[in-house]
Amino acid sequence: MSKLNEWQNSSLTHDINSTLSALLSALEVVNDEWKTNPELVDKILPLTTQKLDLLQEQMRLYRNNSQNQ
Amino acid sequence: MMGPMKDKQMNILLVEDDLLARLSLKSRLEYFGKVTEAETAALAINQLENGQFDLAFVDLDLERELAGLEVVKTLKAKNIHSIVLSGREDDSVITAAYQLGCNDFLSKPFTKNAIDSVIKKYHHSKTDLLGQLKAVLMTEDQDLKAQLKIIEQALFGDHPILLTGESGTGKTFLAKYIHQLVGLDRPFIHLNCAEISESLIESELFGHEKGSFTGAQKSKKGLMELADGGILFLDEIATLSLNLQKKLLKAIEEKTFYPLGSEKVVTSNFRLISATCEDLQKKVQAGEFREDFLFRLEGFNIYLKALRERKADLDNLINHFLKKNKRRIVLSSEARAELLAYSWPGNIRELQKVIEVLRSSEKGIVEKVDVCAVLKSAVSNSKSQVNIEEVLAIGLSAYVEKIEAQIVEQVLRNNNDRVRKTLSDLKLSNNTFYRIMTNIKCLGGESVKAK
Repeated sequence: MSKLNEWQNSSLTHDINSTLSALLSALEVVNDEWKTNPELVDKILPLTTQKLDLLQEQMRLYRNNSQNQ
Repeated sequence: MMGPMKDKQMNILLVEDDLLARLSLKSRLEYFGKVTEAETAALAINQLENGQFDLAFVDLDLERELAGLEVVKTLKAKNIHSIVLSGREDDSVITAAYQLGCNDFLSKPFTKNAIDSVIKKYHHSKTDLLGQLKAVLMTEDQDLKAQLKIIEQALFGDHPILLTGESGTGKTFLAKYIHQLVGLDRPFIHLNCAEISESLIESELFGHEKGSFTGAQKSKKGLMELADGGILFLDEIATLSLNLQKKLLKAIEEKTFYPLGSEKVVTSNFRLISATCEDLQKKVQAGEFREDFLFRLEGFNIYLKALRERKADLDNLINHFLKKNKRRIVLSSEARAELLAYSWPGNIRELQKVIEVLRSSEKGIVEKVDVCAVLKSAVSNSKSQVNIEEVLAIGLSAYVEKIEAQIVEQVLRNNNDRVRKTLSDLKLSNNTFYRIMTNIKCLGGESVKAK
């Protein structure tokens, strides 16, 4: 796999930060609301799982890029 | 951590294209008001044309890169408070957002504490904090006003605050007022480090497990744990031993600690406000205070001037304390002049006390002679109560222990060495009594020797 250019690298950093932020906020909501608002938690959990998969993919890209450098 | 106060009056616009981020943020923001969602910049601008908003959270990269900046521009034009959210790390983007008029920039990833903090800042921006602080401290003094400006900045975030100034200048009052400003729904835990002995202070701060030391009959949460989500106010911080400073430094840095006798780590997210009337730099130079601990305490440093250096405020303060009680008295011009000329070594606390003493007399019009009598007795009282030279020589904790020992010995003698009666007279717990007795033994006390 070819090395990411500066723009792609900065874009990947942005994407990882955004994914982490969404995950953190989602887990805080689950932690705060799982007893009081289970409907919301039901809505959030599948999205959280998808997001975790996305994070895994982003991390793989990041690792490959770091190794190529 | 406690949740924020529900405030349904605010109208918040949330502009975020990621569904999970939007749902989660919305859930948090609903604690503060009514939330309207928008997925794109175009939808957000449309919402802004049709609705009334107090503040907006705007993700920077929406349907296309940096589209959020267009929303920020519209928000600025409509004079709506804006908070930009972004995972970008380059300063040029942050600069662009601020130049277009955003009020705050939150870097992703962030937690709900960051959200709470910017909303609190928004609320404070709507109130004249500096005016309030000036009013509560009743000051027009330029130096003190500059210090109050620091407090205004210090309120947002969780940096430590160090309050310095002579005894009676209002450090505790100010710490409590800061608590009022940041939210009374959060805990305010106050410990005067000089009031309890070295041996007890550690278990007070860190807490302990049952049986972790003699007398620990049950587990007890420490003050640091109780301060979670709020303020831990450590007064007379200069009296802490070097050993305790080291332990506290670690706990403050890591926000985690172990209660005595426990293997279970406790996490506590408190804001530290400390206060002292001593010169901590001098104590560092003398090897009595850890430099790294001082660095940790010094987030925002606020020095409260002595009353004798606030001559311009003195007249207002006298009037304030005169009016504070329904039983009104008036001062003759000579009496007032006498109060204005006095040096006030006990600062505002002393001024308040002197006015109360004057009020308690039968006179309605206070003359110079009355003021002189009260001030003279204040001077002699302050001299007779505490031997400052001895305190400075042996340290406050040792001095307090010595006075405790003298009192216990005296009352024991009066009670013919009856321990139960002495405990009851002095309202002492068994533990405190035996600690003091141990000290008496060390000091070579007569009662203990005889036994």
